[in-house]
Amino acid sequence: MIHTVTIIGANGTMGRNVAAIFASFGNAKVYLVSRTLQKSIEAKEKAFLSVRAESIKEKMFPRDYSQLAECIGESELIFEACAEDWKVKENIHKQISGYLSRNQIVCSGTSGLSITALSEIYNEDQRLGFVGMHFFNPPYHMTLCELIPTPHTDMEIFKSLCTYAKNVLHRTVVEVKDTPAFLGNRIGFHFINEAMQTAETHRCDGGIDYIDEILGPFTGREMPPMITADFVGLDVHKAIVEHLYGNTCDYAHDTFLLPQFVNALIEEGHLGRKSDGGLYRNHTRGDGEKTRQVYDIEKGNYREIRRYAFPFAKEMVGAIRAGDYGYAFTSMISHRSKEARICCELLLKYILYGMKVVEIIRGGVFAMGTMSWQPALTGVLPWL
Amino acid sequence: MEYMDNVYILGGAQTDFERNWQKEGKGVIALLKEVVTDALKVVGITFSDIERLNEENKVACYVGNFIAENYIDQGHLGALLTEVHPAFYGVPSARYEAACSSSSAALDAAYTKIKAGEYDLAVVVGWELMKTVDSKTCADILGRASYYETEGKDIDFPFPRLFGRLADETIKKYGIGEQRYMDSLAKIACINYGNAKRNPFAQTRKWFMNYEQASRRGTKTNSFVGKRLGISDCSQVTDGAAAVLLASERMVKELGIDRNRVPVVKGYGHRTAPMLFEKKMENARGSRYLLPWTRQAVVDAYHRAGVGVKNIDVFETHDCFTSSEYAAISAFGITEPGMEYEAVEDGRIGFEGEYPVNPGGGLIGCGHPVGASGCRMFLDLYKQVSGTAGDYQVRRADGSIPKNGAMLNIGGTATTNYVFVIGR
Amino acid sequence: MAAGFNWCPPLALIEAFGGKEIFVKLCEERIENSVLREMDFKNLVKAVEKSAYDYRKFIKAKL
Repeated sequence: MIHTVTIIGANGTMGRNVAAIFASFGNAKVYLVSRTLQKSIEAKEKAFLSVRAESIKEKMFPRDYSQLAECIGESELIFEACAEDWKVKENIHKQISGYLSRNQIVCSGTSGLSITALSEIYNEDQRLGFVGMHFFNPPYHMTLCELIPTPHTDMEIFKSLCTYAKNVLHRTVVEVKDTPAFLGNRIGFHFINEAMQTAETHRCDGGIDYIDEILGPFTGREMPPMITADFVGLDVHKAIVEHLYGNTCDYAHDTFLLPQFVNALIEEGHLGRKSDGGLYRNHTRGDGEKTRQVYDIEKGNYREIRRYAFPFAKEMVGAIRAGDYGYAFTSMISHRSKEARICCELLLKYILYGMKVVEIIRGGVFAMGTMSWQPALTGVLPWL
Repeated sequence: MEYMDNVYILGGAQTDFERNWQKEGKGVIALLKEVVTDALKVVGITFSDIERLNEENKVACYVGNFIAENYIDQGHLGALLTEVHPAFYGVPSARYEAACSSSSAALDAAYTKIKAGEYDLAVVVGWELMKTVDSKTCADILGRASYYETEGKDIDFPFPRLFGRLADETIKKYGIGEQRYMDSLAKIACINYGNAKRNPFAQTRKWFMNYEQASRRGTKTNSFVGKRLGISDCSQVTDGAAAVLLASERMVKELGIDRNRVPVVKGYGHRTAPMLFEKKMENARGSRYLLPWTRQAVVDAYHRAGVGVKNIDVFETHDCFTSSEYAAISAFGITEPGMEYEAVEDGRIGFEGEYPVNPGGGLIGCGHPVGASGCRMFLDLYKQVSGTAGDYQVRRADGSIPKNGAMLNIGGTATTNYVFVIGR
Repeated sequence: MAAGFNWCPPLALIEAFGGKEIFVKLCEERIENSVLREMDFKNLVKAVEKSAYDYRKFIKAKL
């Protein structure tokens, strides 16, 4: 039973959103720990909004690092949500290690660092309760929770954490081997980076907005891939794909090479939505009119976005609107245009990589339903 | 010939009520195509079967929808099914309307025609697309389920107000104390939100609700709607459709199904109370029940089905607001009128209780696409008594699946009252 | 991918394409043989089961 949780790094977006999940669905007492008490107080004032329930405020207790020992002493679960930086995390986990006493679970919410490496900051007994617990943003809507055991993790503790995350926190739980970017981000950022590479290849056809329109909402996601990259942050995207490029070696290895034009944009401070723009930007013309612009890879400057109105896409959208999904996809498959072929190929590659990654991580996967070892892709990960 | 006029329930399908069809860029034809195709697939009937039955004029369609005229500028809704598939060319089809109980009216018509031996198969579809307008406009459109001129027009959110009035009158009539009553309403909200967590089609399955949140009305995250109820007491507007197939004895034989295993419609009740809320209250003065015509519809259904409340293992009720579910508890006979709070407090109506109400979440948990709700309730009851409710399957004390289920679907402020009893 | 990104999951997209057989045929036609060999496509595809997700809600009627 998890009655009390300590969230370290509660001032960050993920930290406070995860805190809200534990306080609401988990009905847990939650200590919010940040560098300053003021930051924790601010986190408490914002956290309840993410689950639309003011009543959870009374379950949250702002603290700072000077009170870390007491918070940890009371908690069954400690969740680290600090910056994605090895040195920062190493420091925090060393501190936590010094305060652990009984059977406590320690989780890191890291999306990129090795869970096993983090666990080895702890002593042998403490490592039994160390697990990676990767939430997605915002956790109220994105219920995916990747749970990552290490070779040191006690599997009984791991199983009960999976059950807790599924039945109490109402997460969509996926158990994943400790591999670079785990599962969701590896597949997602592969797709986005491959789209960026394809944009570069087709820079004379239009590049970024050309490929984004080919991979529009009619292909299965709300936002096209490069608009998503701006949303996530080009610097974050770069960190993830460089990590994957440096640490994986499957057939799609080269698809994690960051295109040079993205590096250049980052160097100039164009990081996406969090800055003044990235692959896209909002622009006010001389006459005061607001327009949307896209980075033209070929010319090396921003220009107004184009609406290409590809015939294959229009035909698909018309069919989908009337509920004729079968016809929509058949027409795309048989369409002779270059754009339809690009669309088809990129979607096939998305599926293939998804299947491949599941196979790669099959080494340490439990089936949630039966709690027994099963080969991947046979009902183990129906979420894929 | 004792089986000859049985009306069998073959099953059906519903859409995911979390979906916003407007945001998906899809319209009514896509909605209907999906739910009808899915329902036929689940039941194992093809479009060719529909064509064949139609050659003998033995299949018909019944559409339940409240007010597509306002939401999507479309009428003649029975005829729209011809856009789903050419198999529906020539199939008799019409739309039935009774506000939030529109698809019960459609079920009633379908049931009657099959019982009379006119048709062998009925495709009943209830649907509503409500996300096409903003929330204030939506509430105003829904006001047409009341007497619009005096109860709806120029009033912000008329229905929450009217069901707040029901709450006021309940407190007044039975003298149980405002705190205890409002607490019961908060608990009802929690039960429905909690049940919805098990339902993969429920709109609120990812949402958070607990007693602390539901009982603190007038806060930023649970503001008042009207003077008494909070957002936690209200079902949500959403888009959705549910389809159910009803069949005759002959059809069941043709499909090669063992008729003893197929649930049947055992009874129905249909009563229309005075339209105006205040007239309802005046009319109820002599009665033990605050909604005597709602109770009467249940009594009629139980009588036709030859059952009492003790024979009913699972209930679906119309919790457009928590105050309407509260009233339904005594209408069903789970408690005496005025004692409904007991069933809430002692867990009787909970998922594991003796009289589980809304095990899939009800309107508050699932969402309330107005024209679809009656059909969705009927489908959920079918799933319960056929053991196909998956994660939200209730079990009787001995571990067996429910034998009989009852539903109450109301229109307006319990103006139209439809009850169905189904079972094996 | 549904619960993490709100994207149509890869296995569900196979259904959108028309099912496993059509998907396999398309891959053989459109993806370079060397890539298919490197990923051990024949064995990879053997273990594929149907997705638990319905692709329809992810495929939007929007450009």
